[in-house]
Amino acid sequence: MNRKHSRWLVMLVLILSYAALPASSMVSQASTSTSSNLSLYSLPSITVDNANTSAISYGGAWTSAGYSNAMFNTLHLSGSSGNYAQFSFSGRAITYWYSMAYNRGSARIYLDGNYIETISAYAPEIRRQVGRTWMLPTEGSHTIKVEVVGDGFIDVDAFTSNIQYVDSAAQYDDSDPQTIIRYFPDANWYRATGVSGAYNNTLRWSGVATELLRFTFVGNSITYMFSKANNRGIAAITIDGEDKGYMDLYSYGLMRHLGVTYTGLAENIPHVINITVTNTLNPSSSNTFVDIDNFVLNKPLTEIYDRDKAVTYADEWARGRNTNNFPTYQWDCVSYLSQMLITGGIPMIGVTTQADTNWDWWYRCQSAGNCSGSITWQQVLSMNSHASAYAGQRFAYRYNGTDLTKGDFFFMDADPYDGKTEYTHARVIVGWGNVEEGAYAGQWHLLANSHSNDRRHIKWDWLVEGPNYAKAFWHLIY
Amino acid sequence: MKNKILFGTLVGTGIILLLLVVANKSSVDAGMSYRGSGLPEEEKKIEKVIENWYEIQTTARAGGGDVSRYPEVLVDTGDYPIDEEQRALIEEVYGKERARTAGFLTMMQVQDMLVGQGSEMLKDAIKKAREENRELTKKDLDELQAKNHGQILGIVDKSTHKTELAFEAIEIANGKTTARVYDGGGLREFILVQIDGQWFISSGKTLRIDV
Repeated sequence: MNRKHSRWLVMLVLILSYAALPASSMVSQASTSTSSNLSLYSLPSITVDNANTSAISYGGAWTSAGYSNAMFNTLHLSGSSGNYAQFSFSGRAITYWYSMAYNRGSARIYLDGNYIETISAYAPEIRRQVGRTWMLPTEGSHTIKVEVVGDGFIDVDAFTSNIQYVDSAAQYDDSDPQTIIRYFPDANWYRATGVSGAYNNTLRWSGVATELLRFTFVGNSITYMFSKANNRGIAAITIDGEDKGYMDLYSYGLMRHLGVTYTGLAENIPHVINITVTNTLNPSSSNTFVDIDNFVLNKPLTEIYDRDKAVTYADEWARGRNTNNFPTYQWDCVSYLSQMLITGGIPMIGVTTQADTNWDWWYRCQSAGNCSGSITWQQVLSMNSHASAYAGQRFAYRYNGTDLTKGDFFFMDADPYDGKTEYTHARVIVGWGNVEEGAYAGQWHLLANSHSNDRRHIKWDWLVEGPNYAKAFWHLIY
Repeated sequence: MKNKILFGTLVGTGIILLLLVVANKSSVDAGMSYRGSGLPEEEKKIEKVIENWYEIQTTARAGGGDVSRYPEVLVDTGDYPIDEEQRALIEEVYGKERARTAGFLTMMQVQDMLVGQGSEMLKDAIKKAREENRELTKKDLDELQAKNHGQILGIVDKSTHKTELAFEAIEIANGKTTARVYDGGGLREFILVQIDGQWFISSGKTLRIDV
């Protein structure tokens, strides 16, 4: 079943399950809206305001009051240790909405009675509608409990079960009629059209303290796009309740479609990014406006790497040297691997600083044939360290050679007598097919190519079979 | 008469050439030029020791690093140079006294024990991560490497692949042998010493990698 069909099936299940819910369970005070993707769960999204004391039970003394730019303009607050708010829900994900501020402390989070973590709600200024989501192992009935630690106030704005999100790699415009980006208060965020240089020629902005916009997505990196100008102020950025600092949008001259990217987010959990107007400004600025041009949900890693393109390149240059476009080395098995990866679309790291650490991986050409590369670009041990440094992010360690697929690679220690495991050679995997050379010629195997000793379409482990050759099998997560 | 002399000369030359070929034929038909020692019985013993070594090392690496059989074929002498880094590693694993007298036997024991157990730890960690629906991270790998005395981790498979050996040269002199062996992955050179009539490998190194 393809992804499109899966989504339709999930939608159908959603409709049926929603229809099947008893009326008493529909405690929502905020209606659900259509979502572009519901693949993480099939039950409906339900948001419950803090004021709904039949759905949320409060332990100890809590104060309820009105607060501007809270989700429903109210909050429940407490600063006494041990006081708690508890909410039961059906689903697989629960989002706790709260405010961060200078007088806020921390809260212990429990799911189904199990302590999960302690979160801090402190921020130097007020940030409303901060959302933090936790996933449960299974769909079903669950309970979240927020317990006040007592080192400052903690508030409850709302809880949302099965929060809606987007996960398609795309640009999400400020003017999106689907209101994927939510503005608070919506009417106060000025809608500008015909803005030359802005994405879709639109912007929205506000200059009032604590006004905010937020966006919920699944993906491991997000880019906030904005304009800079001489009347711009400072925005506070929060992702999942983590203070990501400030973005000063002031510049002497007008600059459109700039962006800041936040990376390293967990892949399979909804994230909430908040942009809050701080009402602070650069001394040179004439106003405090914060704007949004759009969000870019960066391409999911799985869509970046074009394995066919990578392998086509590897085959084309299996016995040649692309000296015009890449650095040249005498022993070039890793350089050949690097060329394959870059041709497949793996982004370089550190090309701007050209640092030579295992965290970086880059090459550059001043002119045709005049190229240089990082140590990771060319050396086996360094490239293995690079893969280890990005294990779980770019690269995944695999158990066997046959766990690899085209466009992957592996290293081997071809010297079992030097007293250490020291990788000395690299091969790239080009897929399954008939062996072209070596002992297994004509047989159907997983195939590999390599440079230094040029090989094309050999059985992947020919000459290095057996336990005497330690290997590191790296699969690209892309 | 001339023809008879010519015929006799040709036959005689042929016989001499045949005798020369037979005399030079080694006990190992490696399919390549072979330089023997002229002591075929000793060569057989030496070949057997090296073949045993390959079998023992393969079994140890695949078996999680059980290197207890290494003394059957390896020995510590001064033939295998140990650098400071290696000596520090040996000391960490086997203690100071063993590090002081370490040679090929001890170095291979340390190396292959760490390779074998490192591989098992790595496989377990991959399996566990998979059960947790995640991939290994740098933190995981760093922790495993620290547990493995800082040695880089690698996977060794448990296949029963038997390495085909082709002996290129066996030179014996004064109770010591230098043997060159091609094992598919590369050309290796072993030094063997005779102790109480039995050959032991006292050094090994890679001369050329062909992978």
